[in-house]
Amino acid sequence: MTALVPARAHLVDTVGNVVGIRDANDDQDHLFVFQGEPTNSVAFDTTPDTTAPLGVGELRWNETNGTLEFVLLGGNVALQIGQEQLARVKNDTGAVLAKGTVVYPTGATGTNKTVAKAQANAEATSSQTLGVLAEAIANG
Amino acid sequence: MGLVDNIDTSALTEGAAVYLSPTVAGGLTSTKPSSPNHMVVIGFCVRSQANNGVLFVKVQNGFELDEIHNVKITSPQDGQVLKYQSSTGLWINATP
Repeated sequence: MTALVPARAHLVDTVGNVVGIRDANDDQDHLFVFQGEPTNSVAFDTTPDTTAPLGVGELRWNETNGTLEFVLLGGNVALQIGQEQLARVKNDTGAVLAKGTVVYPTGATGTNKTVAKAQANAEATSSQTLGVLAEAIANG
Repeated sequence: MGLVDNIDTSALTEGAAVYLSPTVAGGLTSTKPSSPNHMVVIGFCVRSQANNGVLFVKVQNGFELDEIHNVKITSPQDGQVLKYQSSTGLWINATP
């Protein structure tokens, strides 16, 4: 935050304190908020430009789903906040697990749950069914 | 829990419940599995489509009879039934 560009618009709070800046287009695609300056709320553009895909760690309003979405590590999954619950899992089956595969937990490695394909023909592979993969997972 | 999109749901019935497949590992089916297979509800099909299918996931694992809190089954044998035991408040297996 040391290289401020004067042409960019300042954002001020209700008592006139500068709390951030908007980019040169004066939109909210790139909003910088100063550290140490608390604010009551952060407003997102509810009609955002969606031509550019979101990157990992980026947050944007999703008009289709009516909520904010946040792109997770790997860049393949956008979490719709308040509408989804995801778990990070690891694949040690020896083969790729495709997106849309139903999985159950088989154990853990480090802090990650390991999963394999669930199947309803046995107690062991069905009774703890965890969910459906939101992205393909390579082995390892 | 929530929506998973851009998957192949063409074999599923749109708007209907979706179950864990007993025949395809990791697969889905709109046909309700029956015993001895396990009925695991995965959610329901929001959009039935080959490439842009949408599934709402809300997994509900079923129960075995002996997993119900007030049922205690010990070494079950052919012909036995469940019998109420007032002293423990449990349904137990017994030979009639």
